[in-house]
Formats: sequence, C-alpha cells, structure tokens
Amino acid sequence: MSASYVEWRIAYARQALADLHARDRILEHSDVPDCQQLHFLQMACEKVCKAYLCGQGVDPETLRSSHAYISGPLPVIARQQFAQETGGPQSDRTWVINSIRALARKIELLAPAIDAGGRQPSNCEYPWTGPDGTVQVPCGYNFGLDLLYEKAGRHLLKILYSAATELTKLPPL
Amino acid sequence: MDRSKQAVAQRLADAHYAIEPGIELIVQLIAAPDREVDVKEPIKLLEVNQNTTTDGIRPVFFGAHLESGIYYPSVIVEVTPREYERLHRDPNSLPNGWRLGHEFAKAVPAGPR
Repeated sequence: MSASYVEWRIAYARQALADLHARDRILEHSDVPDCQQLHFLQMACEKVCKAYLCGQGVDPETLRSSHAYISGPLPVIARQQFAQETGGPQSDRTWVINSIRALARKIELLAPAIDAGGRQPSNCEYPWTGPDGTVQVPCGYNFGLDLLYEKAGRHLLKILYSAATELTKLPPL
Repeated sequence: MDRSKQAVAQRLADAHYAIEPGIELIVQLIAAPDREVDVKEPIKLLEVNQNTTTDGIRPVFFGAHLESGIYYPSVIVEVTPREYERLHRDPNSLPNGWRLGHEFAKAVPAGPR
C-alpha cells in the first residue's frame, strides 16, 4: 500500500522543522562557516514547499527529483498566511511578498543543482569554478545573503516555522 | 565601535527600522539577570510590525556576525500591533521568563530647514 499525500506532507514538514532547528544550533557557533547554516535554510525551504505542494495534491513522486521548488511556492505560502489574517486594517503587503519572492530565488540558487543555466554556479555544498577560472569553496565564499538585514528576512523565517508547524498537523476528521 | 550588548541591540534596532517601514516599535526582551550577563545569551528584540502575520510568539534565531559589528547572537520576535497590545496587557505570556525591556525609538527623519 502506498503512503498517502497527507503522510508525505507531514513527513516533509517534520523534516523541514528538523532542518530549521539544526540551523539554529549551527548559528550558536560563530566559527562555523555561513554556508552550513545556509545549506540547512535551503533544505528547510525546499521541504516546506514540497510539504505544501503534497497538501495541494501534487504527486510526491514528481517532487523527489528536483530542488527547484522554492521560488514558486514560498511567496504563495506567504500570501496565503496574509490572506488568513482577519480583523483590523490590512496594509499593502505587496512589497513583503515581492521581497520574499526575491529571497526565495536567492535561496533556491544555493542548491548545487540550480545554477541559473550555468550563470550562477555558487552553492552551499560543492566547490565550483569561478569566473576567473579559480576554484571557489563554499566555506570561504560570501553568499551575500543575511536574513537579519534583508527586507522581509525575519518574516521569511517566521513563515517557514509557522508553515512547517502547520503542515505537520493531521487534517480534521 | 561599542561592543556592549546594549549598543549592539541599538544598532540592530536602527538597521531594522531603516529596512522595514512596517515596523512601528522595537522593544528589547530581557531574560533573567543571571542569563542576561552571559555573552552567549542572545540579544532579543520584539518587533511590532504591521506587515507580519498573527502567529503568536515565534522567535527566530540569528548568529553573531563579527564583520558587521553584531558580536552576539540574536533572537527576533515579530508581532502585529494587536498582538503587542495583548502582550502589553499580559506580559506573562512571553516565553522563557522573558519580560519587556527598553523601547528603541524610531529615528525621526530630518526635515527641511
């Protein structure tokens, strides 16, 4: 008997939470290179998005082979959370969603399999050849991605935790 | 550059006010005194942001970043103005024994002279 989409959704979400908690632990050690926490951030984003897509009825089998599932779903997840807000004046959140979209693309590009058609080979896991022909190493590379200072950066992390927690819940009977 | 926790907290608050127009107020969260003196105890900022979701208290963790003058780890909690009103009425609802501390003022942009 094959597992249900709900089981896959919960499984992806649980692993996403584990990745986020691992990122938190890594950040307690300032001597660990940035690529390590970014790697866990990228993996957490990917799994939250895959959990969300399983919940939307996408076949889990089709999700397994690709890492390119962040920049599309993540802004949608954020927009959905805003849409669920009730009461009180609603401010224009367009710039927040746009900022999250831009961040989601940057995070997606941290996976080695995603390189924008060869234009962006930098990634968190494996060395690559830089534009000047020298070998670049993730642990010595500045990815220029610090969510503490990026527009909507803190909010993106909050959404990840919130969505992952929500997606681990069983649907009501 | 001032390396005290308070100065670093002020720099973080200033930076966040500058990049996110939706932030109305930033308040420092304070742990028990014996924890707060520990250099490993993060700076904790509660950010009242009209552009965040109503999700309750969801602390997000950041590491220290010596190159940019952030000498301590930090924890950011974003809440909506309505959530902050509730927190103000019931400060005991903060987790980890945290309490509300210093309010960081938003810099007023200089007007024409």
